[in-house]
Amino acid sequence: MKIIVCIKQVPESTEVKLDPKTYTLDRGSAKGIINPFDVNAIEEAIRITEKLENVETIALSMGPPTAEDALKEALTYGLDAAYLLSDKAFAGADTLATAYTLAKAVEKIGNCDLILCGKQAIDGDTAQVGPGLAENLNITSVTNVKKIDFLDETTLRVESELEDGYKVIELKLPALITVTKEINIPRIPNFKTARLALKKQIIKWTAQDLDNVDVSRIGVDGSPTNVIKVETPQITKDTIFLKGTPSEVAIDLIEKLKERHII
Amino acid sequence: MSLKTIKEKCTGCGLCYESCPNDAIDFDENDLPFFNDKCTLCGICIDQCPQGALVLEKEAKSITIDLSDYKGVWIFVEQNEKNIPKVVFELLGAGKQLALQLNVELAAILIGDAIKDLSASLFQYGADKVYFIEDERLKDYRTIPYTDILEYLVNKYKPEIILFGATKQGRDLAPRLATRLKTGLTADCTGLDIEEGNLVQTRPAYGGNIIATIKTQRNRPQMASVRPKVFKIPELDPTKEGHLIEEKFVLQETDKWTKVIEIIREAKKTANLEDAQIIVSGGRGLGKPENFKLIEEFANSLNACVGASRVVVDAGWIPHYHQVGQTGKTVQPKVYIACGISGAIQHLIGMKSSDFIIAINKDPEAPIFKVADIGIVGDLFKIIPEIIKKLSN
Amino acid sequence: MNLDFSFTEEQQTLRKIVREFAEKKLAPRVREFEENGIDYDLVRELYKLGVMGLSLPSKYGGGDTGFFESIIVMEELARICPAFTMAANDTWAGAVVVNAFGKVSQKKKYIIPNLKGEIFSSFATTEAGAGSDTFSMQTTIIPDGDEFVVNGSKAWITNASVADYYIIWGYTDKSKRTRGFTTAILEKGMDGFTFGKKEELCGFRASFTGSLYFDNVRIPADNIIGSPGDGFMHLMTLLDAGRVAMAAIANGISQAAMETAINYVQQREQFGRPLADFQSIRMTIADMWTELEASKLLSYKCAYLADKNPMDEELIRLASSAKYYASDVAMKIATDALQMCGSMGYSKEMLLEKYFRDAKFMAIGEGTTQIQKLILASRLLGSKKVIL
Repeated sequence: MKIIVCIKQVPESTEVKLDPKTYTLDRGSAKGIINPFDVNAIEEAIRITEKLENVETIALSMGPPTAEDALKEALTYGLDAAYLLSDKAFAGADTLATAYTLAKAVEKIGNCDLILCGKQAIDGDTAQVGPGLAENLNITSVTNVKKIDFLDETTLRVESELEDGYKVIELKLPALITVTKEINIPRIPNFKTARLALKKQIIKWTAQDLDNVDVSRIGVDGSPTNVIKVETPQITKDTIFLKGTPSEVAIDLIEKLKERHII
Repeated sequence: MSLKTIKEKCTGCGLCYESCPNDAIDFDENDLPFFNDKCTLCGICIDQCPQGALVLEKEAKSITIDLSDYKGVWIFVEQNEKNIPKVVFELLGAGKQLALQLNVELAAILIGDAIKDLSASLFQYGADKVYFIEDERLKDYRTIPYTDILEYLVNKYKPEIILFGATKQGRDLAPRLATRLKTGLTADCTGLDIEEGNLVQTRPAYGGNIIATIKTQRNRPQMASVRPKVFKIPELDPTKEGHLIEEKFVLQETDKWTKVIEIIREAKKTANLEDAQIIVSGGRGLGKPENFKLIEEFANSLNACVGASRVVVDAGWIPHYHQVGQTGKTVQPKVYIACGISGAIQHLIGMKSSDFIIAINKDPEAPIFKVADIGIVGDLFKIIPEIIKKLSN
Repeated sequence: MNLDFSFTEEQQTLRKIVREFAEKKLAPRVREFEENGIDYDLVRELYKLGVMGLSLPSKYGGGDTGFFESIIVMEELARICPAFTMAANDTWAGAVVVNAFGKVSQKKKYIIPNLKGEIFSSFATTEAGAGSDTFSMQTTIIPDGDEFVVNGSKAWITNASVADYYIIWGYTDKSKRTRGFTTAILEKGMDGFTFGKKEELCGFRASFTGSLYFDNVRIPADNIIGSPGDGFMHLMTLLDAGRVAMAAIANGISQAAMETAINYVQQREQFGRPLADFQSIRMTIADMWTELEASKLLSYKCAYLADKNPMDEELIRLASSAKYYASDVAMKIATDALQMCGSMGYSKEMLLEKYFRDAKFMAIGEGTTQIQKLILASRLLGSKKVIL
């Protein structure tokens, strides 16, 4: 069975670090990391190799040349191979163009049975590329999955999260599944596996390397949505600090809650 | 499309370089910024430049379709076992405003099994038309048939705008449809408006660190998903009626449809955080897992729900469904009380839209105070028991 | 000198993996371990992570790496919990001895399961009456037919009662002095082999430190490493590695204390500004960083020398230097860091008071600072007579 895990390198700055004084992005934290939900997807792929025989796992990412670091890190978890789609022609792609480009790569890799993706990237937060990729490949897709079981070689039973519970869905391969954090706790890579991974070559593809690419559907040209403007919201609040002994503060707070009809 | 520096305006302040999350800005011999391979055209530097010296150069692209062919604002009506989530009504309100600005009709699309009667409330909340398709095979939402049906309807009626609730179902269906239609979809919008006939979509990105304004200018329909509670539910007009239209579509079930084996609604172990009016949240400042009892007591005394920061969820002190934040839940209660929570950005994203925020933390520099309406600097182990005591009086 | 001060990609990956483990799995339990002792299941997880025994042959489950890799592992673990680090390292120290001097049957019997995390070792030289004066030890390992009889005791032994096998030293023939010194393997459960209670220490409280008692313990000849009389040579060869390991642990403590102080002084404000604005703080921070860098470089050079030639004279000197220098630096940084953080630093709310207590041990264990200096001096002053 061939599994492709789609990963994205995202800036770590979206995870935590804001300059506490100016409340803007702290540039010091511009390090790239693998999108956290994608790490869950990688872990799930590795778990499948531990449960079933003859499973090949591949990491695929579209991004600038630095995304190679993310793929290197992905390999240390024990994936078999990694592909990087990188080309200026891909830059500026929105989710539609990204999904199309990834689909072309998946087609070129060939014979893919299952695609695993994190449910969304923490920089774009759209959760659109997974389903878009599945649509381009004309395969089944299920999102928000927190459990995957194989009933047989080509039939899966998965649990897909709902707002107030989950649904159990049966599906046939080939398929694309986006996973949530609930699905697993990713391992810390084993050093011995990581050492072997460092010796692997990451295969790099440009637009030229893909077959039958319609260039009007990649990069900026292939993106119907346009970012017109970007603003950094400044949050200013006139915080009222309550002072005094715990008892005084408690009384003060309760007064304020009463004033607002909360109690 | 590329980023360019307007030489005359650049003062060499370096703010663009400092704010770039991708390390994509270098400086040439004249100290002017230029953009390397790592640039993802996110646009943050353009916003940060105080001189407006950075611009995005776009080649004007020709529009290949006749945009005027597309008319009407549509709302996709999600229903789960005939329950329509509140966000659909919120969208009817927002959609109505857009429709009025465009001088077009507002329609709702209803798909399912024996769901015709749900249309009454849709009219009452503002829909002019309701298109519906019924079939027992459509009883449970499944991606492919719903996408196929919407594709058929869109091609038939050509709406210019379609709105979805950014629910799990909405965020599953909308991208599949948008890709099928090869059109633009903007997720999780927090604002919608019309400008020169185009839908102006506002949404947060980079974990809420930036707000982006997006348009889909050359494609139709313009699709967007909207978060619950962004818009208010409009006034209900019990007398309002509308045009109910049944559509027919030939369904051919294939493997791609998937099978829904079971739907499990979980007995609320705790009330749904996302609907809570008051939330009391605990963070690392509690010190150890046993101390979460204090938060629970505090929450009980206010009839509130218990929330938590990611740090304590990751440490296993409290289950994940209590987590508030970027990778947890986004909440908008009337009151949010953050106890021993420092206010890391990924937590703030999940709660900063709360109406009234109270923060208790012993560190006066904690970022949580920047979003708090009321700040209490002190020992929560002394302060919270006092509050609980006084409340019980 | 062929100097390349960079870490290889593999070494950087190793550091990253161990740091992730230390921060995610060890850090939340530091206080718990101080109170209740180490959970050895966490040590087993380290083995599963593939970062233990790296310098041993891959044939037995090691990584065929140099000693450098072990230093990296210890630095990263000690940055979070030095006691855990010392205990974890000790669990395969026995395998190092067996690998260096044992025969194949012993290697298969002990190293393979050890590096799977199935059995743990302990390294026991010190006695109640023989600390710095190692060779005044009283334990005897006397041949009797096909067996040897062990009598005596050991004190201040890490992993006592937890480890499955113990490398001990004793006299087979006291008259031959250092040539009558023998290395032996004892196993938990052997008749006559008992343990003392856990010692209550100022710092390093998480690791189990206790006594071993040998009352006519009979061991088969196969449990002797090498031949009787080889013990002195074994011990001399092994002690350097132990010193560099301690240097790495001390550097980890220094790193942790320094990072804590640097973060704190940027947040804490007095007199209207962050403490970090005040010159006295700035001077001390500069000193901390410089001394730690120097200390790390000493230990890295030792690792580099050990990988080239473990018998190198320079290594023997430098190992002593690295160890006592790192210990001094750790005590100084831990003290200064605690001072900078004032009452908060002194309270258990922060970990600085723990670093302070842990740092003190570094000048005592594995050869006191005084002994290290004597060793070094005796090698510098031409006389090879080492006072031990």
